[in-house]
Amino acid sequence: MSIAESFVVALKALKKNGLRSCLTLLGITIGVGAVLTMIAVGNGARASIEDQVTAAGMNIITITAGNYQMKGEEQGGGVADHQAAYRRPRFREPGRDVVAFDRAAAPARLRPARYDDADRPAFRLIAHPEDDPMEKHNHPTARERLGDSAAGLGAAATLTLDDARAIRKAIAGVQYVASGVHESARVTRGDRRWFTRLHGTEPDMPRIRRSWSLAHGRFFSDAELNGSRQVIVLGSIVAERLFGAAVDPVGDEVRLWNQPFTIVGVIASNSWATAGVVGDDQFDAIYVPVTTVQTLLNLTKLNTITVTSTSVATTTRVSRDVTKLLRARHGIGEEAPDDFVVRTQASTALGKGINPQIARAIAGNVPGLEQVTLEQLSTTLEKSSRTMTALLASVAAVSLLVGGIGVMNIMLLSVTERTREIGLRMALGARPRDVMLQFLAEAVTLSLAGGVIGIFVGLAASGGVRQLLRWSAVISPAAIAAAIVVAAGVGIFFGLYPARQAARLAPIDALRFE
Amino acid sequence: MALISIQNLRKTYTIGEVAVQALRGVSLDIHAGEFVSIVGPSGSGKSTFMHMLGCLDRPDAGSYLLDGRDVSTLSRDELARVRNTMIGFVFQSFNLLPRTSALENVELPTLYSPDKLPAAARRAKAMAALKAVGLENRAHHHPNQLSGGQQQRVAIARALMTQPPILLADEPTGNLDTRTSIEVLEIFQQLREERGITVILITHERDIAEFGSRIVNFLDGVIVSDVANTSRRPGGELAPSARIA
Repeated sequence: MSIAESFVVALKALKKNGLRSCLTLLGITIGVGAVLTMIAVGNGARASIEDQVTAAGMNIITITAGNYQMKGEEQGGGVADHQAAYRRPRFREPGRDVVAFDRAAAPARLRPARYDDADRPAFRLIAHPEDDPMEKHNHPTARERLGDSAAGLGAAATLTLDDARAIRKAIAGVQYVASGVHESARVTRGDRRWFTRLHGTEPDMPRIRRSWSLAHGRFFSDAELNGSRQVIVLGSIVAERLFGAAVDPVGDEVRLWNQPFTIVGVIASNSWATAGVVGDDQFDAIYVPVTTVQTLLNLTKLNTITVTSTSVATTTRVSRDVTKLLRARHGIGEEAPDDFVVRTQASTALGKGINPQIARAIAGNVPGLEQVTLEQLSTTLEKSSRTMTALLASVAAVSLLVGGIGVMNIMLLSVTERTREIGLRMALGARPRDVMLQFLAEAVTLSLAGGVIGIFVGLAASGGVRQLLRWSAVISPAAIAAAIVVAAGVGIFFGLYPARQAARLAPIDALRFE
Repeated sequence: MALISIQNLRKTYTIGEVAVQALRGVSLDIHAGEFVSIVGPSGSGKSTFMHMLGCLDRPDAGSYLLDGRDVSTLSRDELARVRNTMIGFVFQSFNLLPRTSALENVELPTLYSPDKLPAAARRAKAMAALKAVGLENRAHHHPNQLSGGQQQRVAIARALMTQPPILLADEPTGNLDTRTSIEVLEIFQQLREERGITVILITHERDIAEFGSRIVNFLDGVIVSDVANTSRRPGGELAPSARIA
C-alpha cells in the first residue's frame, strides 16, 4: 500500500467517525492556533516596543552649534566658539556682562596655552556673531527681528548647510538629516497674531518626528527648499489660534517678518499622548524652509543639525562619526574642544538628575558609556520581549501537547476498537507496515487538518489582536510553514505508539478479538 | 505434487496454567482442484488447523509446504504476501468492514497486492467480482443494508479478488439459513468446477461437509478419518437433518 493510498484509507476511516475526528483535531487546532497567535503577539509587542523606542527619538542625534555648555566658570571649561571668535567681529550688548571672545584680539595673558588651563579667565559667548543686523544686514525684517531680544541670542554659528550635506553624504547609517535655524517669531493673519517658535528646517523633518501626522496639506518640498520659497507649515496650535479649530488653512496666507507666506500644510500629533499644547515647540510652532529663513535674515549658519540613524543600535557610532567629521571640517586640532555639541537621547538621559558638569565629565571620560547605555537598552528591550514571546508560546505549546495527547488517546482507542478490522486486513494480505502506515496516516491526517485549521484560527486571532491592540501582530510565512511541520510532527510522534501497537498484533489474535 | 502438503503438524496453546494440545501430529495432502470438507466437533482442533492452513498462525512443530514452499519459516511480511496471493478467506461472521460499501469491501485485498493496480482498474475488477456473485446492483450498499447471504457473497467476491488458488472457508454457513447456505455452497462448487479453485471448507455440520469431494474428520487434535465423498449431492437438496438445522 502506497503512502497516498494510506491517506485515502485514513481519510475514509476518519470520516466514519466524523464527530470524534473533529473533536480530536480541535485539540490540535487550538494548540497550533494559540502558538501562532502568541508568537505573532510577542513579535508584535517587540515591533511595537522598537517603534516606541524610535518614536521617542532614541535614534535621533542633535548637533547644536557652539559648545556653550562649557561655561567659563567651570573648572576645565573653555570658550565655546573659538573658531568663530577668530573671524567674527566683536559684538557687545551694552549694559550686559557678556562678551564674545575674540582670541586674536585678547591680551596675551588671556590667551591660554591649553584650553584646560585652570586659571584661564571666564568668557561666555552670548550672541550669534551674525546677530548684529544693525551693522551687517539691511534686510527690512532684520530690524524687527532685532527687537525680539530672544532671537538668535546665545547661538554660536559654527554649523553650515555644507556640514549638513557632508553628514548626509559621508556617514554610513544616516537615515535623515535636517538642518535647522530656530527663532521666536510673531506670525500674523489679519488682526490675529500669535507669538511662537519658528523652525527653519528641511523636508525630512516630518520623517524624523515619528509622532507627527499631517492634519492638512503637506510638508514643504525639496523644490521649495532649494528655491527658498516663502511657504510655511503651521503647527496645529498655531493653526487653531490663527484660523480656529477644524479649519483647513492650506492655500491661505500668513505674514511673518512682514513677508507673506503661503500655508502648505498643518502638522498635528498622531497620538493623544503627545497632543500639542501651547508652548510645546512642536505643534505650537511654524516650519519654514531653512533656506528661506537664511535668505530673509541674511544668515549663513545654522543653529542645529538633526540626524537620525537607521537603527537604534548604530546611533552611538553615527554620533561619533558626526563628531569626527565636523571636527575635521572645522579644522579643530586634537587639543581643542568641539565647537558644537552632539547629543543623543542616551547622553541626555545619562545627564538627567545629576549635576550636568558631573554628567558631562562622566560622558566625556568614559568613551563607551553612551554606547553601553544605548545597546544595553536595546538589547534589554529585545531580550525581555523575546522572553515574553517564549513564555507566551510555551504556554500555548502546552495546549498543543494536550492536543497531541488527545490524538494519541483517540488512536489507541481506535486501534482497540478496530482490532478485528486489523485482523481482517492482515488476513487479506496487509503487512505489519501497511497497518502501521494506515494508523500513522490517520494520526497525521488528524493533526495536519487540525494544524491547517489552526493556522486560520491563528490568522484570525492575530488579526483581532491587531485590531484591538493596534499591534503589528503578523504571522509570517515561515511561522505558517513551521506550524504545518510541527502539526505533522505531533501526528507522527503521538501516532507512532498506537500504530506500532496495531502493527504488532498477531493476525489470528486480532481476527478473533471480541 | 500436492498443492498443500502437511507433515506431523503440532500446536499447543497455553490458556492460563493449562496447556491445550490443539493439534497433535496432523499430516494431510491436498491436491489442486479438491473440495475438502474438514469436519469435527468444537475443540477437535479443526479451527486451529484452518489457521495454520491460512498462514494466520504458526505451528510449534511439523512442516507445511504450500505449493512446494515451506511457509513455517517465512517472515511476517512474506506470510502476508502468501495470504494475499494464495488464499481467499471466507469467515463465519463475514468480516466485512462496517459503514463501507460492498464495492470497497471487495476492493480491499487489491490494496495490499504486490501488483499495483490503478484505482480505476481495482474498481472495475471489484465490480466484476460482485457481478460474478450476482450482487452488481448492491455494489454501493453498506453491509448493514445487505442480508446475511448477500454479505457472505460479498465476502466470497472479496476472497476471489486476487485470484488465489485456494479458498479457505471457516464455517461459512454458520450464520446463514438453509436456503442461503445451499446457495453459498453451490457457489463454492461452481468455483471449483469452473475455475479449478481448491476449496477447503471447515464445518461442524455433516450435511454441509457432504458438499465436498473429500471429507476429513478431526477429533482431539488428530485426523480420525479421511475419505473421498462419492455421495456428493447436487445443488438444491439437503438431508432432512440439515433442513431442520
